[in-house]
Amino acid sequence: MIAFIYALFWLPFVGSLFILGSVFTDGAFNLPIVSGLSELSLLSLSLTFDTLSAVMLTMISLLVGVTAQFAFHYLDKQQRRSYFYLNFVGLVSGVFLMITASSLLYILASWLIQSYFLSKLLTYNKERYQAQIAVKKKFWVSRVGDSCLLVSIILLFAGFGTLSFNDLAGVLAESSNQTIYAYFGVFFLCLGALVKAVQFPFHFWLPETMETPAPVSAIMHAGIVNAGGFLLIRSSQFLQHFGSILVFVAFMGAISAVFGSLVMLTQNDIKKKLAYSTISQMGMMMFACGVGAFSIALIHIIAHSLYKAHAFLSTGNLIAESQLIPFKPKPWKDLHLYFVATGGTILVGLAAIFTPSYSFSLCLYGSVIGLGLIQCLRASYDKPNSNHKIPGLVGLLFLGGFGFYILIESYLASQAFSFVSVADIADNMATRYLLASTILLFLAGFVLNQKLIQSRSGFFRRIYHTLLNGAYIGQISSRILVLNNKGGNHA
Amino acid sequence: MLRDSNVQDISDKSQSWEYDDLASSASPEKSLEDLIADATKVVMPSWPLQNAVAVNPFWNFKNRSFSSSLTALEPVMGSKLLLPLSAYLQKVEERTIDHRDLSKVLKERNIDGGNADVFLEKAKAFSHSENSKSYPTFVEFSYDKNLADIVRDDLCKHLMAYFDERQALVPASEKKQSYWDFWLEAQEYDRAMHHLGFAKFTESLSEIRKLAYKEAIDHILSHLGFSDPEHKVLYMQTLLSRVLGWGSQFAYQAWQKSLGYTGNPYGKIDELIAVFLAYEYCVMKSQGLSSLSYIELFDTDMGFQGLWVNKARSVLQESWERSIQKSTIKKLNKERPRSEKPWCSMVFCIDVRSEMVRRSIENHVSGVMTKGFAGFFGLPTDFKVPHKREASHRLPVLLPAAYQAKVEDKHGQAESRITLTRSFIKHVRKMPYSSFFYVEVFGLLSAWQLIRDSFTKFFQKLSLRNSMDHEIIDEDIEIKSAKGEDLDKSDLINRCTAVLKHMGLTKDFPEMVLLVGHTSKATNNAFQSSLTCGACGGHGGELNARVLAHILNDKKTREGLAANGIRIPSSTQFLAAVHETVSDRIMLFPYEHLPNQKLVNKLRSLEQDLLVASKETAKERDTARSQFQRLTKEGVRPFNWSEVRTEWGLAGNHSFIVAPRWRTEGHNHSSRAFLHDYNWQQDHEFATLELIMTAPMVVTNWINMQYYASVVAPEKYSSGSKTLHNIFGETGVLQGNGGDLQVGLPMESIHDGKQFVHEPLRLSVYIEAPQKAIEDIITKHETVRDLVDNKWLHIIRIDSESGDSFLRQGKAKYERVDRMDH
Repeated sequence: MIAFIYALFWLPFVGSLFILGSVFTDGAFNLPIVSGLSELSLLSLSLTFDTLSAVMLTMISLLVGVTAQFAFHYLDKQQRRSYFYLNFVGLVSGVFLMITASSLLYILASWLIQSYFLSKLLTYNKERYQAQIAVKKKFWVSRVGDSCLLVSIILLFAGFGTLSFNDLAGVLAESSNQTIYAYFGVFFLCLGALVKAVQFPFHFWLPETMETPAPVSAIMHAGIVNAGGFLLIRSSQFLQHFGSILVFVAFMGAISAVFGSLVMLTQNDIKKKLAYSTISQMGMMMFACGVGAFSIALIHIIAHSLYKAHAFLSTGNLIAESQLIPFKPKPWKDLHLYFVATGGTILVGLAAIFTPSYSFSLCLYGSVIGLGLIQCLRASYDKPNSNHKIPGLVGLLFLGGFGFYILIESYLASQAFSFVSVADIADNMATRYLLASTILLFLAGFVLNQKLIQSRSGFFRRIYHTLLNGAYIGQISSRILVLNNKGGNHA
Repeated sequence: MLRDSNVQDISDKSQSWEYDDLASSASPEKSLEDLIADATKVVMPSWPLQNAVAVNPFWNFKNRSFSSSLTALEPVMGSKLLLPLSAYLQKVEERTIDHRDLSKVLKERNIDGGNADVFLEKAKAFSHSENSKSYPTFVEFSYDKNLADIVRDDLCKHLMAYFDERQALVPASEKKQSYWDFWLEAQEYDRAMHHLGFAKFTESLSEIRKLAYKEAIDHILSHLGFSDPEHKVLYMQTLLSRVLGWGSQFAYQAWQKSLGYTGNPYGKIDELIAVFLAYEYCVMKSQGLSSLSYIELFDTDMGFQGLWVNKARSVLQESWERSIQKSTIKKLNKERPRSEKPWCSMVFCIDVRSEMVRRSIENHVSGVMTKGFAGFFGLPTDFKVPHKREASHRLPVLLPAAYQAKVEDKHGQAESRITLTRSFIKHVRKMPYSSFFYVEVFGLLSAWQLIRDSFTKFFQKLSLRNSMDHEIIDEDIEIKSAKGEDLDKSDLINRCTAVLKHMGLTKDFPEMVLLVGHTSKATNNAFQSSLTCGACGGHGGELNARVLAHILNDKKTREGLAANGIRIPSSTQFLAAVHETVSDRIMLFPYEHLPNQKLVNKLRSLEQDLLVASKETAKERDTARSQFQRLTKEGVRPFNWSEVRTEWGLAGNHSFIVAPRWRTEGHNHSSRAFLHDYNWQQDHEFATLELIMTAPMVVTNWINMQYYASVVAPEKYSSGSKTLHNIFGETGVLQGNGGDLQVGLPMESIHDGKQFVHEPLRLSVYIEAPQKAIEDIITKHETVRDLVDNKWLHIIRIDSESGDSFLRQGKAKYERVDRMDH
């Protein structure tokens, strides 16, 4: 019986492997669902199975299998287990619809479905007031995101009479069609995606959703928050013609990536730390989209989802793991090597301006990842009287891994995920300068990060407390949305 | 009145305690320090999850009677600390509480003329309108619980930052400072309260900013309008009850310091009170609220009904325990069954979980005798492994360490490449920018981790190596004194002599003595240590077993022991083993190298027999506490990463039996009794009894009271559902987003989804020894006297001549328990 139930959980995964196989051997295909209404193209729905959706389906259905199986035992003997599964299935259906939807309208529909079931899951422990606050906040942020997409849908449909991604890609490629409708339509689409991807300042609800069992957090952080990023990748065929909007996306992404990762430094509990890590990783993904590296964004989505799901489900191991003596960041003093390396990395990023469009995105994105590599290498083993260093071999392996990774990324960008080309994004020099300047944002965050670890002056104390409180947006939103503390009821 | 050691008048006390409440000790001439000290009694230390051990949360009240201190604490905690009257009445209905026992207790206490029917009728009438008074904090009073929780969570946010030394890479404060200073400094920069809508919060703080924390407490209490010292104590206790978990961290630091461990306590719990008061005061000031009607709430008058109900609950609790005692006494053998001389003796920890497996072994394996002894085997040892962050203290938390076991650092720097690499990868994951790098490079590998962890049954198998730290089996271990100096041999021999004497192993040595420590294997379980050996300070007992076996096999030790009068024949071998309590497997340490081939063969077949016994035990244990069929097979449970109920631990404990094994042998005590072997005839000057009553008895009281508290008031003394746990700073857990640190047992350890698997019963200690010996020890030791006289546990003496049992009713006053009665 148990084996049967478990098999059921893994059915989507097996199915998605078949789809993946057939997409890679026979190419993409469409599965018309609502086709009888061909005169009403607005409503026509077909499911798209291409490289993008097949890969995403495989990842999501793996997570569905893992979390469903995990929750089965984890929530055993809790009265609301069936409630969990009911809403879990609803939520996952929404995700599957989103991944295979061929038109913007159904993306919006899938967002609404996901949002509804996610709210239900977040109040799994309905007696917890904090959970209700979190859901209230999530509700309003979701509606902002939905509204943006709705505006975008109205504008695009009014302008071009279609909402299908394929048609839009064709129509919007022609410069004569890049009208005010198109610009605002695409802008609101991106704005909606940013809101959905928990980007600053719409991030505040996510760290407050820990009032729910770990499997919900796992599927949410791994699946649902990808909605925004996925939409951008799905729309990449026409987004690439809107360089100025992508600059905006890149900046917003970079801000969230830096902000989230700095807040992460200050958090004292694992789940909030993971939430802010998600915010920063989503920012990184948005940044990748913004610089036109859509295929990197896709890999980032997949890798991050898998990692984050595992991290949420295995937090219990943290206690056993804590016996490991950690590496601690070392202060930066008289370290020419590291300064040179940092400078070099930044230069590589800036040099992107002059590279061919194909390597443009890679240079920019790669230099941020390179900053990460430099950051982690400057560390010492936190044990008194120890002269342990990072094993040289490990350092070399990391460097090698990094090089290999760049190769893979550039291969994927140009070959495997041929659904996107970055050719047109950076043809405008102004766009190039703007995009390249985002690297300075990362540099600022990098320096601030070192400063926070080393310096305790009043200025940095204030920054520390702002970060500790997630820029106070949680508190402000609590005050506006839920609290009524104008006066005491006994006063 | 409170500190009366005169036990004659326990019955007087039961009549007078109703006027006795928590703060009555606060007489007007008491200084503020005394009031604070009184208030902080509600807090006990709690240990980090790396070595979670049971704590009696009411330990500081041991010099007061059980029921009066708990009922007096109820309005402070806002929770029932004895069961509600209706719950007891249901037990009367179900006959769990015997009418005759109830009548007896009523008679003893001179209530309703000992007429149970009259009493029950009154109780039924009152049970419908049972009073549940609780003191709110000022913020709770002025707004509602929800908003007050948000304010409290802000307070807790600072405590998290203060105590976290592991999670956040940017520390809240570089220098170690007192908590009051820390918080005041944070308030200069932190605008959270302002943004929550308390606009003038920081401004309101200005008048107390310059004060020391004690002055601040004084200042705020008087400005809130408190004048009665008793009310002040109750108010401060009420505040502490909202942050019991964080309070326990201050208490833990102080406790460790008192044991001589390094690591300075920088903060004091008094400062926590000061900070909480500052929140209350600043909220009041900033919103222009008034506290006039608030302080009137701290009126301790309970009214006639309230007093009667509390008295009735105390009576019913006692009657319930009497009924349980009778059923236990029925399971004590009057006569010694005949027995053959065993070839192997297995010494288990007194832990209640051993009872079941010992019974099964005695049933299934011939020639084996079992014994019960404290699971750290009398060796308070710190264990130091070079690549681990800190030494693990494998000893009862009430003791300081005497020895240090060190894994030899063979290569000078013992960290292997693998350890370093693992640590480094963790570092890559934690640093802000390199986490991008980590996800890009390693993220896809998580797919494999997810699949591996979902299907562990294909990858993992339970074995000795797999269920404990491999260093303990594989590495050479060096024994030093606690300070790291070389051992004083004669000191060691004296200790071994004492250990063997207390164990009752001084003559007639069998061929094989197995020292069986116990441990618990779980995956992805933050509370694993709470399921291991409490006597080893929340670690497995295998290290202590191995060390003692090693020492006792040593020729020189044996020579020394012979000089002390203990002759161990050269044919006798000691060997360590480990009892894994999830699967109930017993695994022996390597023995193939032993010279005696015959013995090796015997051990091989013993291992087979033990496996059969283990499987029987596992089957019994699966249904012993909960009616549910377990979903996973025993072999998988320790490795299932989604398992929240690996085992029930010590749930169900209610007895501690100090007697020879034959008294309990052959009866099913269903893992509810701690069994300590004790033979008073061999106990010179009752030194062993004194040890048992001052050490294991206190530890069992701590365990028993922890379960008690977790079950009667899970919202205060249990750490809540594991499914919502959020690990703080790698040492504790929070529920959900934050708030108070959660201490105590998780719900999954005490509740099966439908009902509690533990019944809140005080420990009944059965001791087979002469009355005078027991009384002498009670008189001699204040702690024991407090526990016994104030009814934190029951003492029942077993008469070795007749086999009858006598309940201690007061000083030197024992009353025979009629076993035919039930």
